[in-house]
Formats: sequence, C-alpha cells, structure tokens
Amino acid sequence: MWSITYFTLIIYQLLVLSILPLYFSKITITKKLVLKISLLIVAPPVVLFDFIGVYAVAYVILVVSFLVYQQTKRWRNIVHVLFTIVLVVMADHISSIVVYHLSNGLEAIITSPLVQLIVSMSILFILVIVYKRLFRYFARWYMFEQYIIPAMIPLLLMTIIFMYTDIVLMDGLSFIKSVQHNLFFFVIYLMLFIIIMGFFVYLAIKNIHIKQKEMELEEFYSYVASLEEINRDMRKFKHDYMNILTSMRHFIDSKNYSELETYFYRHILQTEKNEQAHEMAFSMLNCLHIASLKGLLTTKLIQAQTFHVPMYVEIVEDIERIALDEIQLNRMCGILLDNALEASKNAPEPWIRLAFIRMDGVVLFACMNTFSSNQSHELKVHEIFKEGFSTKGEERGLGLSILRQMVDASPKLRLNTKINGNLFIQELFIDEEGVQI
Amino acid sequence: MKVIICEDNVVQLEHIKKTIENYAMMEGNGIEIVLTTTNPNEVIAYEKADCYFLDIDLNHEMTGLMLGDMIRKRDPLCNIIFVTTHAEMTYLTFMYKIAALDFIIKDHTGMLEQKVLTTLKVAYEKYLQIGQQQAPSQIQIRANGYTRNIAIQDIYFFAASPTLHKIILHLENEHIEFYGRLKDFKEAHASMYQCHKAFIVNRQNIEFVDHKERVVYFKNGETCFASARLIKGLK
Repeated sequence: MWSITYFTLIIYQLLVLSILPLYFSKITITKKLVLKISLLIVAPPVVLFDFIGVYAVAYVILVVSFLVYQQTKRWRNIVHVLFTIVLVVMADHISSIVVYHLSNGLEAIITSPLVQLIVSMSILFILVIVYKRLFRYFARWYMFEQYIIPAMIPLLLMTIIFMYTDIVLMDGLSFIKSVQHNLFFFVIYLMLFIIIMGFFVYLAIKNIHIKQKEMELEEFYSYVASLEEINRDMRKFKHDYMNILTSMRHFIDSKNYSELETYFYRHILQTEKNEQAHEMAFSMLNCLHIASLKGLLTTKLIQAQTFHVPMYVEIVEDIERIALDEIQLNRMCGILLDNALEASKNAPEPWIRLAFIRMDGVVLFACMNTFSSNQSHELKVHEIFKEGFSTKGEERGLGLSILRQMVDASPKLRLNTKINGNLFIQELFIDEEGVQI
Repeated sequence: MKVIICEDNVVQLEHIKKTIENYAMMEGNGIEIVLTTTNPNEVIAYEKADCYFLDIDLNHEMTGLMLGDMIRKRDPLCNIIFVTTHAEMTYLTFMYKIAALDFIIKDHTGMLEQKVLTTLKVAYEKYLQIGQQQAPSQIQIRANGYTRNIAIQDIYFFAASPTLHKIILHLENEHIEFYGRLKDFKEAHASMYQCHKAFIVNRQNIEFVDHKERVVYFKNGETCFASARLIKGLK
C-alpha cells in the first residue's frame, strides 16, 4: 500500500516537472513527446530514486531542459524549467503548512497522501496561473528577453541548489517545524532574489541609456561632419560653376549650338543630379527634430554612401516628436534601415527611399528598397519574419523578427509589409498621443 | 471629366494646357479644362473638379502638398497628379498622404507631353470606374486612415493579435495590420471561415489541410493553425 502511494506521488511530481515547462514554452504535446517524457524523464528516476534520492531532480532538470531546447531551439526557455521546480517546491511547502494548520493536529489527515496531493495540486494550479500571467506581462517588455532572462537563469539555479541543500539538511528536525523553517528561508530568499533582480534590471537600463547617449553623441558628430563636407562641396560646386559657364561661353562664341546642347545635357545636368541626391537627403533632415533619430539617419546615409546605394530621404513636414520611447524608436528604425541597406546593396539597381509622413493621428515611417531577386525562389513576405531568416545564412536575420515582436507588444504600432517584384516596402505606423483605438 | 491645372510658371502652364486641349479636341470624350491658374487659392475657391495637375513648388505660401492635402480631404475620389522637377521629388510623401495618381517630371522636356497624356488617360479610366458600384467580391478595410478595397481572391487569412485588438491581413505577398475585431470579417464573404479563435481563412486559397497536426497550408507556402473543434468545417 505504502509503496503504491509513494510511486504515484513520485510519478505525479515527475509529470508536473516535465509537462509544466513544456506548457510554459508553448510546445504542443504530441504522442511522440509523451513517449519521450515517460521513457527519458519518468522511468529512470522512478527506478533509481531509492539509490540517488533527491539528486534525481538534477537529472530531471537536465533532461527537461534538453527536451525544451530541442523542441523550441531557444535556450531562454530553460527559465521555465527552473521556475517550475521552484513553483512545485513552494506549492509543496505551502500545502504542508496549510494542511497542518487546518487539521488541528489530527495525525490521520496530516499524513494522508491524498489530502496532501489535492491541496498541493490546487496551490500549484494557482501559482502556475500567476506565473503565466506575470510572465506574459513582462514578456511585452522588449528588454526582458535580452537582459533579464539571462540574468535570471543563474539566480534560479542558485535558488534551487539552496532549496535542495535545505531539504537534504532538514531531515534531522521534526517534520512540520522544518517545513516552516524551510518556507521562512524560501521567502527570505525570494525577497533577496527579487531585490537582486531589481538591481540587475536597474543596472541594465542604466547601461542601455549610457550606451544610447554615447551613440547619439557619436552620430551627432558625424552629422556635423557631413554638414561640413556638404558645405565644402557647395563651395567647390560654386567654383565649378564659373568653369562651366566659361566653357559654355566658348560654345556660344563659336555659335556651335549642337555641341552646346550635348555638353549641357551630358555634363552639366549630370553633375547636378549626382550632387543632389545626397544633399537633398541631408537638407530633409532639417525637418526632423528628434536629435537621436537624426543622428541615426545620418549614420545610415553615410553608410549608404560608402556602399554606393543612393538613399532618398523625405521629411517634408516638421516632425517635432514621435510618441514612442526614443530608444525603441531608434532601434526599430535601425532594424528597418539596416535591413534595407543589406538587401539593396546587392541589387542590380540599388536604391532606398524612406519617408517620415504625418497623417491624421499617426506618423508613418515608410521604407522602400530594391533587392536582388533570386531566380529560383520567389521571396515571400511571411518568410522574412521567421527567426533566423536571412539571405546571408545562419545567425543573422534576427532583426525583422525582433521588429515584429516589438510591434506586436505595443498597441500604438502597426507594421505593413509588401513585396512587389523586386521592391520591398515596409510601413511602420506610430499613433500619436491621445489617439485611442 | 473636369480638369484643373495649377502651375506657377506661365510657360509650363500654357504648355500643359495646350497638350490636354489638343488631346480633348481630338478624342471628344468630354475632358474639359475648367481652370488654369498660378494661384492655389483659386483652385480652392473653385467648386470641384475630377482631375488636378498641381505643381509642387507654387511660389506661394501654400505648397503643392498643402493644396493637394486640402483637395484630397474635400474629395477622396478625385485624381491628383503632381508636376515637379527632379529635385523636389518626394515620392512617398505624396503617395501616402495624398494618394497621388502619378508624377510628371518637368526636367525631361521632350517627355513632358507624352507623360501628361498617358497620365491623363489613366485618370480618365479611373474617373469612368468611379461611377460604377463597388464590386461585391471585395472586402473593405479601414487601415491607418485610408480605406482599402481588397478583392476576395487576394485574401489568404486574417490573424488576430491576442490582446491588442489588432488584425494582420495576410495577402499573397503582403501583410496589412489594422485595428479591428476578427468577428467583423467572419461573415464578410461565403468563402471566409473561422478555423481558430485567432484566424479566419479564405477557403479559396487553401492548398491543403493537415487534420492530424491541425495546420492549414496556403498556396503561397504560409501556414496557420486550426482548432480541434473548428477544423471540421474545413473538410
């Protein structure tokens, strides 16, 4: 009798430990997966528990982590595995105490595994819901994935090691006392954990802001440098004008009008066109009054110039402010521009055209570029947002999927994407403040 | 079709006017120039026309963009064509803000007449279509301040965002995101079918349905999910 309840309890725990992380990581559970779980995770600890005791947990963590990674290809999901363990242990402890206090010391109830199981299951259920909600809430925040989860994993590991050392050490004390004592430590630990996390977050945000400021300053310098260069070009052009006029006079004096015509169209109009694209772009930036964004655009304009990609910028009306966190705005524009540059520089006819347009209640950032179309495979819009998609092989192409995530997380943003022949068009709509759905 | 031309350079103005008048006389299809002016205020004062040729730099406190914006707000259906030099060309701005029909670039002198005429013909065809009813095989969406009519056969599926009341409409090679509720499109056409809490698919563009994995495959290679209960309707 004893061994049956004992086995059911262990199997229940193992199942919870393996299925909850899969649920948190949004993996659909198939028959094949269930088979894997029962063979890899449930069977060995059940057989070996007598020999290795609580250390079976280490084994479970490893295998479940591996399984989650294999299914999602995202090592960040391991955080769910670790959290599940913390939640299960918490639920277990809380339920012990709850049962102890409600039973008025009746031995039969306290030791009844069924009561324990039901109470701990319901508490676990509540904890799972809370965790899922909280996680979804924080996941909206774009820094969460990048900075906080990696910081969380070692901290959680420490927590688990701490918890289990405590469990192993508690064997000497009387049962309920040690449970209380454990829970007390866990709560303190959890608070410490939260404080440390808060500190990490604070540091990370500060770090980002400092980096951002540095970048802005650097970009601003390059903006000033480009203005100086344009100024120099203008002076040179003025000087050239004199030469051009004198050479035209030569044709006029000799009444050689047909040659004058070819000269005019071939040489004069041509030089002017070359000068214009770049200068126009810079003069358009005058209408943009967001310093950091101006800096970003300058940098990209210079980059485009070094790649010999003509980049046309249209900002016709003054853009005083855009109702979005500046770092987020720059990041999104940066992704769009990097992507456009990368795609267009290999195109047979490279160019990029972008615009900031104020419309009723929204600011539209439109970006249009050419790309080199692959003859064998026609590029589709839905493919480019897949994580890891890039025309340049592995480990790249994260940009657009991050962009999509950021747009999805904000009620103010909408992104339209279109491929038309060899033209790639992205439209990012940013609601102005005070505009509600 | 009533045409208005507004251009600050009198020589250019005459040139465009002559080109259109000659064409209208030859065709005799009711194209008529009702106003030629250098002053944008006169354009605004004039009741209403169907086709506008506007210079972008009007040498006036009102720019062609502002004038175009005012005309567009008053009449969402008219055709607006911009006449400009290469340097002033701000293509995207005019496309998105005013939904300009086309641009005529003044710098290419030889091409001007020809370009005016081809654009005029396109405008005339659009003008004729306006009189006709909206085809029943279209779905209208209001996205980001402008209205778009989308033919049913172009629609692949609608996908709802879980919390934010946004919908992404997937076409063959385009995604359009807008505010709205999925249920408003459920009955839009007989071939629309809601196969999941978050997806409405167009039956016409389904390649095949994997009932085991509950995945719907579309003709362009895209996929979406179907729920266990609703997938039955996709037999």
